[in-house]
Amino acid sequence: MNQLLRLFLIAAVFCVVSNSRAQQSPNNLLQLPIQIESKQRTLIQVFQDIEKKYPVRFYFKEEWMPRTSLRYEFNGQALGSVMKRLFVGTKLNYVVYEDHAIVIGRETELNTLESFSYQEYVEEVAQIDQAKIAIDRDLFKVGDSTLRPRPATATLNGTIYNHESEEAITGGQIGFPELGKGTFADSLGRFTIDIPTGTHEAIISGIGHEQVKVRVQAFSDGNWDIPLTFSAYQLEEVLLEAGAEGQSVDGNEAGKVQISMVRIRQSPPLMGEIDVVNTLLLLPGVSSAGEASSGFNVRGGNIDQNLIMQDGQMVFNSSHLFGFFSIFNPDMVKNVTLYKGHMPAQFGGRVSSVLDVDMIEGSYKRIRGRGSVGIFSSKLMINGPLIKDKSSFVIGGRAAYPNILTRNFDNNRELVQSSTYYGDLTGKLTQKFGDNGKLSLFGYWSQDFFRFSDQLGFQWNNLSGGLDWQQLYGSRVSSKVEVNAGRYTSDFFNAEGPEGASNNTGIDNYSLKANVQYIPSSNHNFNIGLNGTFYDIHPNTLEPFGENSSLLARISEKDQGLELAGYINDDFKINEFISFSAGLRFSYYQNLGPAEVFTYAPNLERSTFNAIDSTVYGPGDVIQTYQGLEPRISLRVLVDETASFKASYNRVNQYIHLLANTASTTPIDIWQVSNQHFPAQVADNYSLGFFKNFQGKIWQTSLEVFYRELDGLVVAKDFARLLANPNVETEMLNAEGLAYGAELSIKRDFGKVNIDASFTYMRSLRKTINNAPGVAINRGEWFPSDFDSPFNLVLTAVWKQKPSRTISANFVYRSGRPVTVPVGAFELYPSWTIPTFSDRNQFRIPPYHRLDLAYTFDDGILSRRSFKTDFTISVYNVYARQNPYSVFFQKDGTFFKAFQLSILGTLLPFVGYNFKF
Amino acid sequence: MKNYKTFIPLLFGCLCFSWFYSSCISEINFDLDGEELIVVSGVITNSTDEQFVLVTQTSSFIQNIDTLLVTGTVYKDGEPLMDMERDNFNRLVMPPGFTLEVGSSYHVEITTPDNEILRSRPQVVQPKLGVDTMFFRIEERFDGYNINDQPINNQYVVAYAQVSVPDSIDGPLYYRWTADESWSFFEVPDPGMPNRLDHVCYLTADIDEHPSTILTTRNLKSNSIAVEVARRVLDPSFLYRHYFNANAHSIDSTAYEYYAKADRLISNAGTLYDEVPALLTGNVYKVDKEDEQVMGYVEFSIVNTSRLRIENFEIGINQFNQCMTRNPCNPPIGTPGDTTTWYCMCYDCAHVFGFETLNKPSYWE
Repeated sequence: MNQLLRLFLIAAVFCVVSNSRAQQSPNNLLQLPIQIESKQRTLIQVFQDIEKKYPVRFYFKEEWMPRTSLRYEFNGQALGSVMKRLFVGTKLNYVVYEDHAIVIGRETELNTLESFSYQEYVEEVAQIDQAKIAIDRDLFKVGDSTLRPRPATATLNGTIYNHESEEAITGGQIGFPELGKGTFADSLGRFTIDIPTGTHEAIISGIGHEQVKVRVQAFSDGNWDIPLTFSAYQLEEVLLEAGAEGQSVDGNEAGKVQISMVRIRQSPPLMGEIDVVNTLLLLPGVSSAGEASSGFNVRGGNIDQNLIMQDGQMVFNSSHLFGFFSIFNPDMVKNVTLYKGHMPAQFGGRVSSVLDVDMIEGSYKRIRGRGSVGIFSSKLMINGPLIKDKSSFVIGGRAAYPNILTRNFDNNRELVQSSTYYGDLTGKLTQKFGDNGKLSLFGYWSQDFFRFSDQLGFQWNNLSGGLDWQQLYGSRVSSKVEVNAGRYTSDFFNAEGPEGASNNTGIDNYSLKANVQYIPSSNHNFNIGLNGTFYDIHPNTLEPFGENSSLLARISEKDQGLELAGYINDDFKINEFISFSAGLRFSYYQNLGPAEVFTYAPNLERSTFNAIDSTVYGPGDVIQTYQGLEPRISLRVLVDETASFKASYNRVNQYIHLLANTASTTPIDIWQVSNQHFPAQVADNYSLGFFKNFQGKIWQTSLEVFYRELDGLVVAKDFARLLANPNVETEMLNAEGLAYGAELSIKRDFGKVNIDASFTYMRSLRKTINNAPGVAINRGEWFPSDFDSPFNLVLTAVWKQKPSRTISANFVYRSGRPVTVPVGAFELYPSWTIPTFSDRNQFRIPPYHRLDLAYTFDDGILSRRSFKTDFTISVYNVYARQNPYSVFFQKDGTFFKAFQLSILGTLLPFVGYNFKF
Repeated sequence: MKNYKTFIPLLFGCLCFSWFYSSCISEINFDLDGEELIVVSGVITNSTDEQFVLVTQTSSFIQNIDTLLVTGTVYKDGEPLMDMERDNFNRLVMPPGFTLEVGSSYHVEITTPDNEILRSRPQVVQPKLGVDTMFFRIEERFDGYNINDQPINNQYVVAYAQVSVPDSIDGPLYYRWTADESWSFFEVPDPGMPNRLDHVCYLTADIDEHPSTILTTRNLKSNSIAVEVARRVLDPSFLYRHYFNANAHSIDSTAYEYYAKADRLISNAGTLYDEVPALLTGNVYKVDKEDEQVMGYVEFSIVNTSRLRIENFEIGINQFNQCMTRNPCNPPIGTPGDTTTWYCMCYDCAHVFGFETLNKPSYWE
């Protein structure tokens, strides 16, 4: 047991004894008959012996305990008598906390400490500890013990949930090592498993939660709900137990990665801010176009090919501050799941990956909060019950103000007049209806603003809201119905002279999702459902901006698309070695009017000059339809309890594109639904992996290879003009894509030092096809995509020096991104020097690498009342690597020179202050 | 709309400079060796200046540009019109008497030493476009950073052309401007200095600060627009008299798109937010191998020249309190420190600017 924690508990004695709840049953505990032999045992050993045998916990500071051996033998004496006898000759005393704990301290210490300061803290820890004890001390009995004859097997149903918040733990795991059986909890935390009747040892774990071992005695079928505690509060000096997160030997779904907020909080923060997407970028197979680039790429897919969901809401731009941070408030995030390989049939509409970010529910017990104050940003989250044990709320907001630095640059008028900020607000209300129903209302708003002097500026906003209803029908059936709506808008202005213009674009989406889950036995887990999404893309408008602007307003037509899908998916086990996740999804899409659709001359370049006809469609008219069957299957074959093979195949359709003519997406890139000119994107994803654990689960290794074929892509023509272009299809070319690679991962996930190393070889290629002669990119040959990054090495290490002291480090190496560079030049009369460029993306900028360090410590002594604080000192880019953000060329006399620009070209130290209550 | 791509990284770059006093821009080596491509470039106009087509090769970054020994013919409405003559600079010069006819189609055909035929796509000469007036403003412009990372803000004299679009036109108009300038130096008026005109020097230069401006009336909201056509740092070239000459070329949509792309290529800063650059092909192709790239553009256009004359008093250039003359110059005149009169140091304008001429431009007044 951690000494510091024991000290806190000692200091809490007076609060404990004054707590009415604590006074309810101490006598019962003290009456507990103790039978134990204490010959030649120290006092500490005696307490440990009693803890093992009886449902009681002792809290003390070890240096206060006498080291002398004891001679007593207790044969059924009451615990109170035992304590009294043990303390004879010492200056120790004790108090009883609730009905399970005894807090021991020096009498003098107990009398002088201002225990009220720690009251709530102790209460919190004690509650968690109570849950541990509840699990540790008892033999769980499931089923009807009176049933005769006793059945041979029992089906255990239950929910793995967080003891503190009572939230279900998605993806929780329960295993019976001696039986070689185990299962995962579903998205509602529910599990079903068949075991032989009798007493067995079980291991239960959940993402971000402490793993526990318990004994369960199964008499017959029955219910078993299991509370777990956050590993952030764990009392043992084990940071993260093996198998608690990420891919594992046991998991059914290839390429599924779950990350807990504990893990995210341990990553060295950028500018004092931990971030979900920045942590994702440390995973094998996940990359981005570079620092300060929006979004992320998964296994060679485009940014728009990631289905990003925040509590079920679609996210169309996940970036704050041009990609330095993501829109997810880390204090509001419960857990993060990335499907980069197998995609269960429940998900669809994006061909590359699914990022499912679950937000927390408010506590049903008491008001809690968390926040931070930093140089660049501050945030605050509060949650608690509206009606205790029935309804809860959580609300959190962030505000960033990096422009306070630019204000100080007196010598630069542009910077002084520049401004950038972002903010977001997240809220959720949850109402329980009995034990089986729950209604949640979620809302999110964010805004980013960037202005460079009075010359140009960006603004983009996310607004979304949703309602979901979860209902349990007995122990085997549950349903979830979601209604969501969202809006993403972006604005850009350029006030420079005659070309001054503002550009506005955006997309609305409305979705309805219904899912029924049926778990007939521990070998099957069915999900059946329907999805409907309506995309309403705003007209892309360009309007004159500034008094000197001479531009005419332009507007492109709005686009609308309706995507419907039905699916069925089953996670099932053939036997204890072979399991599947298999599903089938059917998607159907309609492109809807109003619209004027142009027809272009065949075999000629698609341009307005070659438009030969046009058709006008009225509102709601169906212009174009696409549909497709999408099989999904993932197979796991367990070689033994330490090794497994996994393979998966998915087909996914996508009916929306993000049109861009830049290396990285910008906030004003245009969303475009599929129509006659923009086909549906179709991906066939294959993966194969081998997973092997060593030394139990201390060392986890995996090697995965993947291969992805992409059809229906579009890429920008050379010199494409996209903004407010009513014939934007004339600026894009049809293309196909190919991505393949291998991911090698080695993880040590045990003890004080945790190490995670991954190496990824990954290629992402594109080829223009079926276009008119002469317009193909690179003559129609394969070329690297903008984010093709063959070699990626990520090393992370976390040293839990003490429970309250963590040192973490990241090292990242990535191949430089592809670029198109000038390979020559010519003089254009009379005086222009025009560079001649290479084929698209035929060169690479220098590789990217950096090392980050962070030291996090919390000190309870600084805490006042229930206020808990921690500090993080971090250094980003420790060795001041000037990583190239971009490469540009300047003429120097008759020659050209190449230069690189580094955005964060030096080390960045930051101090963050976080608090929670 | 393109500038945001430059300024986003610039802002962060500036932050980087200012926070940590370390440069975020560094030179790197790139192993670049592009294939040499033939370049055909020329602007054939109705002006009295020499008209020529230049055939060169693209240079790698370590080579100077060489001209090619070629022959060429001008075609009018598909028929050979006249052969061009090669001069001492290996340029193909239009023979005397060549004129452009509005509404006619012109192209050139060039034969290389390898007997490859290069042909420009025919262009129909567009009617002359007018410019109403020219005017100037003095504006402060940000010019990057010095070696100490301090921002450089300079005062510029910016010349504008005021363009009025006719009310009824058949389709959009396309303009391209080139500009040049000239200036001269006089000593201050001083009755005590005879033979003043002997000490005048004239200087002319193409303007490479802002080499070309293009405009289409396609997206204009009003039929009158002021277009920046030239600018020069406010420097001693404005000590006495300065001319900006704006040559408005009437071009077609194809030429406009070409120059617009060239302008975007030059404006690219190499950032993630730049448009992906590409090889810029023009209106010249190889007759037998159309899939092989030829660079450059041959323009046939009518030019209308407008002039802006700027006197020193119009821009308060007296603040320099100095003048300039040719060598040999007379001793300084005026009294140092006396702001009511000119104090004229004796600068040699050829020494300062590196070029001069005694020939007064034809338009000089």
